[in-house]
Amino acid sequence: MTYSDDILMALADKELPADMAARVQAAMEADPDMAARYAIFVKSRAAMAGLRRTPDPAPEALVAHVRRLAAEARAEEARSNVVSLRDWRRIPALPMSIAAAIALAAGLFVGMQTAHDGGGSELAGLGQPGLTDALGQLPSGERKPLKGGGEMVVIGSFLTGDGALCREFEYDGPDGRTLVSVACRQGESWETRLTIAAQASDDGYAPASSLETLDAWLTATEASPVLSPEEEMAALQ
Amino acid sequence: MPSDKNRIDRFEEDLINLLPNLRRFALSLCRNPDIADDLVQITVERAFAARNHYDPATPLAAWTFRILRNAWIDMTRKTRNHGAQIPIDDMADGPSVDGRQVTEARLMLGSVEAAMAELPDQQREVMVLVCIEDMTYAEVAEILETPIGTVMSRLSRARINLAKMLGIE
Repeated sequence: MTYSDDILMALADKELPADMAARVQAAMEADPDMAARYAIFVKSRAAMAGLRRTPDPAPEALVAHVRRLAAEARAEEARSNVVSLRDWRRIPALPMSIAAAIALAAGLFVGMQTAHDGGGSELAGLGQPGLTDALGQLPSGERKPLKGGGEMVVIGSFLTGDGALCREFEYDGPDGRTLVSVACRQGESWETRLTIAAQASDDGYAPASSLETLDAWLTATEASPVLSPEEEMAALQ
Repeated sequence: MPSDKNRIDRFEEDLINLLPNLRRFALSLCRNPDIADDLVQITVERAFAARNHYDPATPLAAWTFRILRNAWIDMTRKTRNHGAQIPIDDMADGPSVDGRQVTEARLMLGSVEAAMAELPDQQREVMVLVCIEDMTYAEVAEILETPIGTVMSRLSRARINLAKMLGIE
């Protein structure tokens, strides 16, 4: 029985199952030509041994790049944990066709509204009496009615890259509108950094699907993972 | 089930440990150190972006080598800096080689490297993966997204070519 080069090579590379290897070995003993072809595969692999030395270490810049990507991945997964926190609290979701109005820190205001939503630019609610107190005291996950109507729930607390304590919360107005907002502590008061006004549907509000804006903001501010209840309580003191 | 954080930590460390091998493979593909580092950078970025598709039960090396090779294909398609691409499998047996033409230089320490450099790209690639990176035929088939029989025929031709160039009888 004569075996092909591929089979002889597979024997040299220890890729053949034991029974097959034994058959090829036996055939070679009776066939010097085949044994010579086999030797070429053994020797050609042995010749490569010198190139198998440990490769040169990677440049520091590449290592640093991997470290950076890993840090970003951890931050990203921490943010998706914010979303799963929502799921856990069973806060129902808005339809994808959400009307969002985004108010950014410096008073920049961007409003968008869907055709059937007449009031996308009304961001009433954030001036509600009691809101500041609630931000300073309410643990994440607890819902609290506000004096001026409507109620709020804090989704989570985190620190921005520059160390400011911020809280993501939802305000559900008496008119059925929901605002998803981030406020950061500024001395004794809380300053709104971002607000997304979500058009309410019949069955609910704050949507994981519409939170790309929030995600972008969290990325830009290098937000920390969500604080644990203990960390949050300590930060609020 | 490890937490997300532990999973990323492990991915990060494993990837850093693989960087030298990824560079060596990249260098064997493009033969330019700067482009090789670019390729590795693209590879780790793609690896992180696709990390949720990686099955930690499988070797990370084969998975990342495949990403790197695809990045190289993308790069050569984009830049077309590679001259005309000739399907090597259509070529008879790579470059014509003659043991008697083996130069002194090849007989010295770098001779294997020099001979490797003369192999057609597809033959050099399987040589690097099997004989330097110590991958199995099955792993190489997965990296190249090609049948194992193709891997074996490229590899056996590469070995015979290399043996001729090195004067191995």
